[in-house]
Amino acid sequence: MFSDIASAIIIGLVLGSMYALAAVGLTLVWGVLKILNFAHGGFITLGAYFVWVGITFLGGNYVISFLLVMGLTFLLGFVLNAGVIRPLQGRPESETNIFIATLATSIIIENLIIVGFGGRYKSIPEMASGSLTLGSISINFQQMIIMAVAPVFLVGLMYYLKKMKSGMAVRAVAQDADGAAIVGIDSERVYSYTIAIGALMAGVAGVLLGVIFYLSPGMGGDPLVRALFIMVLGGMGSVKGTIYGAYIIGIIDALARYFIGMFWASPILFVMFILLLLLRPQGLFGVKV
Amino acid sequence: MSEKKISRRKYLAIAGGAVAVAAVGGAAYYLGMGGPGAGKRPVKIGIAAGLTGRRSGVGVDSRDAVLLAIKEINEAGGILGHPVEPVVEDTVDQEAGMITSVFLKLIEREGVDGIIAHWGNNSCAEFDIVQEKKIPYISAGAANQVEAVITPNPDAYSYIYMAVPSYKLYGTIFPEYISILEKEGKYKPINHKIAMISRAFEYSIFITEGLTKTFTDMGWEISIKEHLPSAKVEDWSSVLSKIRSDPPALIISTMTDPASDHLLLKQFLEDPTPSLLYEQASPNDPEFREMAGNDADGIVHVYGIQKIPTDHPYRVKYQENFGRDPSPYGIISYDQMMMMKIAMENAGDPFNREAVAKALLNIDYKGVMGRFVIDPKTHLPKGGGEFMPFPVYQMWNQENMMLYPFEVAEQEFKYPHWYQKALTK
Amino acid sequence: MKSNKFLLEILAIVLVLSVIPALVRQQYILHVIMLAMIFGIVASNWNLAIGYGGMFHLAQVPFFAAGGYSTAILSVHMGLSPLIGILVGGVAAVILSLIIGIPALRVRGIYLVFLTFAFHFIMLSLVLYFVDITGGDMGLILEPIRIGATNIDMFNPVVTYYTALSLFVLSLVFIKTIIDSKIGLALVSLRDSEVYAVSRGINPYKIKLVTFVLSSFLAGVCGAFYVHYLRVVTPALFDWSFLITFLASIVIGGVGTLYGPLLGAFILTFLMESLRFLEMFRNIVFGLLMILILIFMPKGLIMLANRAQSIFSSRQNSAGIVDEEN
Repeated sequence: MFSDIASAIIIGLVLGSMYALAAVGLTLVWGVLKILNFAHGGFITLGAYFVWVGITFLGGNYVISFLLVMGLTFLLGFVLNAGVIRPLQGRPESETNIFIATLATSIIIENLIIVGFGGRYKSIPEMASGSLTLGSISINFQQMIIMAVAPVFLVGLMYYLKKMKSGMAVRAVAQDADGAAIVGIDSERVYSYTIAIGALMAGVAGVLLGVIFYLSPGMGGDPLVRALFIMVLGGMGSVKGTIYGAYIIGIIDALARYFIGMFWASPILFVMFILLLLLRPQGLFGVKV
Repeated sequence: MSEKKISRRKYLAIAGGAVAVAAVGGAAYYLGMGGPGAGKRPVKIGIAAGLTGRRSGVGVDSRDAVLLAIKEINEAGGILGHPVEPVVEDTVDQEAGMITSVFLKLIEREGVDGIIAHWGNNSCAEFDIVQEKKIPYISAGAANQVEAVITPNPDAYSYIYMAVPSYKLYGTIFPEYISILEKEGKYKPINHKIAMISRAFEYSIFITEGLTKTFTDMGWEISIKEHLPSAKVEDWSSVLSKIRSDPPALIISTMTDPASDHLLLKQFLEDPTPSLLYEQASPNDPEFREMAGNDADGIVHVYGIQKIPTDHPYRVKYQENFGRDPSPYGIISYDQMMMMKIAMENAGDPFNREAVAKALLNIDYKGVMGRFVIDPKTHLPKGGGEFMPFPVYQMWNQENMMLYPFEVAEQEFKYPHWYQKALTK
Repeated sequence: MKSNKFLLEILAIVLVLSVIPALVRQQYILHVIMLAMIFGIVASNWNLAIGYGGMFHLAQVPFFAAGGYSTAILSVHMGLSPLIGILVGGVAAVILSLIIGIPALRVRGIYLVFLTFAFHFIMLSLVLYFVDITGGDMGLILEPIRIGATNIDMFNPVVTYYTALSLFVLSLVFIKTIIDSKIGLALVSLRDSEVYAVSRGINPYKIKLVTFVLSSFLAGVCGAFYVHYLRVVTPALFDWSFLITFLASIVIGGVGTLYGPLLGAFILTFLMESLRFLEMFRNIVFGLLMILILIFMPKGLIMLANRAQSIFSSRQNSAGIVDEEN
């Protein structure tokens, strides 16, 4: 019983790391642009496939492949903004329309992957094989890498938002777009940067997901659904809240899998999601809306 | 690398050819002309495959297998001198309305003479259409549902045939083999407990039910039961911790998904128990073999297909054409097309649909998968014995070796590579 | 005067749609039109909430599926007549809409999207789990609807076609009635200026709930009709493809218009069928098209029709009524 709880918490941290990366970009985009980017799941998938391409065709170099993913998803984030989001921003019904347009984008991405890579599973070779066993708890090196890599990116993002000039501009726009405009911040520029950074974080999440699991064209769907829950739990738009939220959900998810069974883990999370939306829509860390 | 390029080119040529044929055919249809080519009237074969849905891997492999068969048939002079013309339609996720659209279009607009599908709708939504319009139809999945629909009145489904045998044998062959091994002292299980892992997928549910029933009748106990909503599993720790705290003699997974089955194996091996691991169907997927490598040594499973080793001529041919190893549906669908061809030849006239349907009922074809003889009660190919074989396989060195039936066995049962280590611990 | 115009429009639609079975012999075409009609009904009822009510939610697919599964389960396990099942489907959707709507409509904006999204997944899990009741992944095989001795199914495409057409007309009248009623006027004023509407004594929660519930009824009826027509019910009723089809119909046709979603459903269904030759590229083209329409034709294709012919000027029509009230 005790060891079950302990290993559930460790697995919860692994899942939480993945969820945090998957959710943080979504939250950032919501915080700044007040839009729900449904193409986010597609970008998670893209990240995984890009790293696969990198490793397959560049002779197995993880570092270069990782950089390739970051570069490509970042650039495609700009494309997403210029081609889909910006033209719809600021129009009436933009919230609904951007939801639909980004949903359409995710359909395009999924089907491009089916056409380009086929629907059969692909896999990324292991970064490190082997595992660590402590009593009845076992954790493999891949999972440890995820637990270590995720915080690096999350802290990096926090640092960027807090300390760097363009990051501070992002926060300024998120808090008060008009005020930011008065002090001379080009909000259009900030918007496109934000979406690109969100896309990059999705790509990184995709890499980590691809490392422990196989690649398939629809792989971004499930993490996206989890990310929505986490985003609300953390308080819509709060990056810090989202990170906490992700680890909380990760641990609850793992505990549910251990003690209730894998079938009901998801429905239980959805019931909690509904209760959260009804009872505390501002989330754990958000301000009341 | 260069080989890959060539095969890709070939693939493009086939795909391009198919599109061109479809385009020309479509244009000709709208312009009210006859079929393309001034020669003999072509035999049109509809291929209904989920090219873009959740199972696009299966759909594309299946389509390619049919196209490969058609290419071969045409190179050998067609069916009774008639060239074969494929008409490919995307069924996406096999949703009932979509399947209905596709089948009606194939039949009425394209005027196909026969239809092949990796599988249609899980609830057989397309059956009434093909029967009503009298189109010979060979499907290959959702066999238990098909069996349930056809058995009460086989004559009412005289145009509908299957290329995969009943799932019933999956429920009995493996328990039968285990009990023989135990009796002969070749396998000494640590107890009579089973961890049963299944998911909400008709194939998985049905095989799990069958195995559960036979094993419990034999006095075994299902000590751990885990049912999953889908094949997407990022982590198996919760199930494995149950297995480790009360090790069962058998771990049976009917996930039928190479990704989640491989992850299960990988995480199981982090701290294995003295258990046999049975993973349904996945060991037949090229991806599973590639990823698991020798980790999979000792995995057992039963599969209703005869052994098709990696250097089997069909596999080689498929690889040459498409640059990848076929998954099971990349094999099954080739046999489906060949069944259709033989039935059309046996009928003496590919356009006499009633005769073709009758010929399908009476077919006796030795294909890549095995021998196809249709059971008139279910319209499924007969399984077991001299018909479609149901061997017990054990994977060694990335190859599925036959263990049972003993007449065809390639080797004896051996404990899996993790077993001794786990036992001594 | 205005209701006369609506009557003429309905007559024109009925006339055009009812001669089709006499002109085309292919069941395929009839089937595709039927799908377009069914999808059009579901979409235009959803549009009542999205376009007129300003409530963007994702519960329409659960309503549709609830309709399908309720009649399926009752007819398979309790021998309910499918003809009554159609009504039961509508009632089931209404009950579900109350369960979702009473708590959910207190939250607004994106939260409503999330809430309905969560309901979708919970329902799917329940359907997949209770195999004995729902058939799980295998689904259930159903009896067709029977009116007298006639089966409304695949084997009687023409009769089935006219049944779908009657539903189609019923839905049009239903929606038109709601739009022109006090509820519709209140909705439009709420959408345009909530502060003003509230000051005029409109209770936004009540009005929204009523609209939400009303918009679910025909979705459930359509779900029930759909499963009995195809004679199977499977968890595919929860597929995202349905959500995308309904949503795309609204967007392509025109949000917040009477005829828009219907036109959208017809265009979409026929377009997707005629693009079949693209095989694997079809969905990519579909996605691009959606984005282009959202960007360049945000009011939908109905605006083109409006410009071309004043017969289809339903949007101006309803706006006109509001002006008179003011």
